[in-house]
Amino acid sequence: MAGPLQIVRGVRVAFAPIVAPIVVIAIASAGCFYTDPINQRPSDGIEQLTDTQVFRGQLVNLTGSADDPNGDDIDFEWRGYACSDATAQPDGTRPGCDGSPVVSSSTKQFAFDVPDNRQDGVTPVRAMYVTLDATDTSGATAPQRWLVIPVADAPPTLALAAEQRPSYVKGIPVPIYAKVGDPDDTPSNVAVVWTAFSPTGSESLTTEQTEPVGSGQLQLATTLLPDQLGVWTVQAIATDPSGVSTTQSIDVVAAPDAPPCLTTWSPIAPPPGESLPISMATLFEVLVVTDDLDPYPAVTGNPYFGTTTFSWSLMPPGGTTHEPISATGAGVALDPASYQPGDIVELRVEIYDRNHTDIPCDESDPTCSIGANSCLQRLTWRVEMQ
Amino acid sequence: MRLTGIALVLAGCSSFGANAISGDGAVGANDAAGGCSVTIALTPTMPVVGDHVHAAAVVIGLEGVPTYSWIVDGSASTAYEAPDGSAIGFDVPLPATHEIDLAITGATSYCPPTSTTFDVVDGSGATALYRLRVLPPPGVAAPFEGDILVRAGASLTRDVPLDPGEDLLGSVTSVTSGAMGVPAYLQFVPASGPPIEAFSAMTGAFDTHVALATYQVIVVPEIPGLAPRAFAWSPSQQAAFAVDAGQPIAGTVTAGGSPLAGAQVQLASSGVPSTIATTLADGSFSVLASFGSGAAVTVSVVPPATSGLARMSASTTLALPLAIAYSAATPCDLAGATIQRGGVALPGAQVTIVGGIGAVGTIGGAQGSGAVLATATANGSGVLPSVPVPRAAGLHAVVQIASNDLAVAALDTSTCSVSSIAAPAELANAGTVAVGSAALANARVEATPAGPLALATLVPVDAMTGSDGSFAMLLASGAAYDVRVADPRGAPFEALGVSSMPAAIALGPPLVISGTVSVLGGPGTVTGAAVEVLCGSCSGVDAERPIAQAASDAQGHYQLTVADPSSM
Repeated sequence: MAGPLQIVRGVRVAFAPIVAPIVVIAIASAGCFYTDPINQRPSDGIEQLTDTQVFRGQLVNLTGSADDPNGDDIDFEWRGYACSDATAQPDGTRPGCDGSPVVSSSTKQFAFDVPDNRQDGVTPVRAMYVTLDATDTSGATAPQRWLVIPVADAPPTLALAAEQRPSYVKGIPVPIYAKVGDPDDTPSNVAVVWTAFSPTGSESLTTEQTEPVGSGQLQLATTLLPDQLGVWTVQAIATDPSGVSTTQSIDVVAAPDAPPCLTTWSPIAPPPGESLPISMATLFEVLVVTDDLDPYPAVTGNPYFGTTTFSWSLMPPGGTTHEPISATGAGVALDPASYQPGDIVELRVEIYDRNHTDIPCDESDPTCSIGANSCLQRLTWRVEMQ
Repeated sequence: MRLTGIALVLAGCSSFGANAISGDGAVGANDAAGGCSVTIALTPTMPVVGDHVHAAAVVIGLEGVPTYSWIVDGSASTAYEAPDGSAIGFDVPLPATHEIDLAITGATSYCPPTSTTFDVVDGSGATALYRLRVLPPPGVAAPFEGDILVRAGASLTRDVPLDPGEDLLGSVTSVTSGAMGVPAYLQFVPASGPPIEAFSAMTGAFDTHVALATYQVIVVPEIPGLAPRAFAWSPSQQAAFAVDAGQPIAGTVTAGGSPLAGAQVQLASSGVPSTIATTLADGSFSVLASFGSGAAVTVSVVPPATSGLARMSASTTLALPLAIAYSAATPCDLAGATIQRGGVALPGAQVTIVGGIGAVGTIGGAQGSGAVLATATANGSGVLPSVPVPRAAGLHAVVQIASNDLAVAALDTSTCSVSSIAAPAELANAGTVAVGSAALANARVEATPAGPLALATLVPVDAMTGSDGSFAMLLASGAAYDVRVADPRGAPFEALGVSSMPAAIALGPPLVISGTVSVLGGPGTVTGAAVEVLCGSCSGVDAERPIAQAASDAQGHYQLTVADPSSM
């Protein structure tokens, strides 16, 4: 095995390390022979500090490791070439790389962002060919080091969301949103394909709206019409120009329309057999109705939501049936001054959502629940005028 | 008191610690173990631009010598305005939202940190006072009500931490029936804010949810022979309310010096009613009440319809026996008068004669004011049967032809020469609602009876706008209405006492009042709480009519809109 190659100015000598001391001693003993000190060339290497999996646009950190036997300072010369194919030909050329470097540096550390495309601005970068030349202050140059860094195509980013609702009602359209990005491609070049998987089949959905959002992303919108009860899965596949895809899906559970529920009202409604005494004009009002479609008060800013329909009726003193009155809002006032003291009046409100499910109870029932539970659609105030 | 309420709302919410609203306008935190509690009191309670704000720690249950660490808008403050560092001060030269954090260390007892956020607004503009009322779902917390002052051009953030209160199980019993349970209506009236209502069952048991506060509890028994009664109640007491027959209040009702039989009499004192009594043939009556001679009372008398007398009411100091005397008067019987529309008789029309007629007699020596309310139904020929009414000018006949077909006609019975009452057809009203120049679809336009019509009915007429913002409705001829449009997309609109709908209703730009509803010391925010903005200076039913309504969402957040005071 040969020893390290050493450069003596003007003379190149190869020798074995064991021999070297003898030679030197021999020269010294001659007494009259002089030569310049031997400047040995540095040695170098490349160390990649960041992940070996590199995507376009990603930061790459390299560091040069060099050693000079003479202790000279070493100058580094980095060059980075963008390549679509960094394979070297037999003659050492790399035709798949740009002819001139896209990045360069003369520091020990070499950090650069991998360009998206080669210098033609079109061809995606698939590899970076990096060279390092190390030269000491005496001009001795280490053999050129090179490194080929494979560059991968980053997949698109994709996040899905369904419009937030208390529940998703069968037959009511649901906006579905996708936020699309791509670290190394323009999001607008990412194709998104929607598929809705119903409980019994599947169907394609189309992107209805696209708008840019922050951080260079796009928000796409489509609409799911869940016309069957059960779990619907909306799948989106985002594919970038390089053919790399990301798939995401989201579940939407289509439920039957639930009836609206009287939640809060004022004043208190008396239990059966009792009456609410009022001695001054009193506003009877429904304050809150919960519903998956038409709550009250209305939700603003979302066309999906409507508002509750109120149906009021009044059974006058001595009456036997509740007669509809003109009010359709959430409140009706009664004034005992319009009645005789001791008169009993029944004021009733019934609520409906857009599906207007019939309230099934008998006229004489002061309250009613379609689901036979605590969710009331009918409320009756039995009022005693004082 | 009004300022105190404003301070409660202004105090806002905390960014750390568990905040509480106290009665002095402070917001603070309580040690969950029941030790130290800390609040921050601001002076002034509603700072405006240019004010100097004094923030003082109000600490209860502290042991040891504390050290106060203040942070104002993220920076430590040592601008002490108390020797012990328990207060700081700073100027507020610009409109902004400020946050004060306070940590207390060095005390033996643990004092939780607290903070408050408050707005500084430009105080030079117009203002409007409202009440903000929050009614949580049943059993969650106690209701809240506080004043809010809205300034021109300044939206408000008002977080509402509710008093968690407590469930209250109680009973109503009868003293006179061996502590037997009594079904009753109960009203827990706080020092301010809306009352809490409950009904006791036949067993007398009731269940409600109250704040940890003192209430006046008005109990109105459903059983005859028991008098309504008010009780002072505080959380340290059992909620056991025993009612009895009270004491009889006797008197007579006369008309022109003669006994008046069949008149109904009721008294009320400090919001507590008596029972209702009907006079006997000799004009005598006896009601049961929990108050007695010397009490300040309001007395209401409803004479029999056949008397032709007006209803009479007066406020007086109760002296027994109570003498109620109608002045001598000869009623006017409208029998034979025809109800017509366009000269055509209206068979079956229902007629209500209404109006106020001033002094009609005395109650306990005090002048009684009169109000006419007489009803009748025309026969098949549109002719009224006997309807005796007082002789007076300025009365009105409210004629109802069908359920939603009304007319109001002026009526002068002073000469008792009424042969017909004209009930013109309803008036078609149309208009548009817009916000700025944009038509407002699906907005409710509501017309509530006012004036004479309101004496007969308060049932409103309403319509929804179409896609072009247009609406149409029929209004009673001769009537007045209070027209309101409350839609969160614009400022609330109100036109009071109008006889026709405004043709073009333009909602002004709204100011937003928003915040979060939570339960003090509770697990989090409150969903589904009813949040209302109410008139700050109204009385009667108008004080209860919401100007804007919302419900807190899943995050406890609410948002309401009110008119900019500069546009009012």
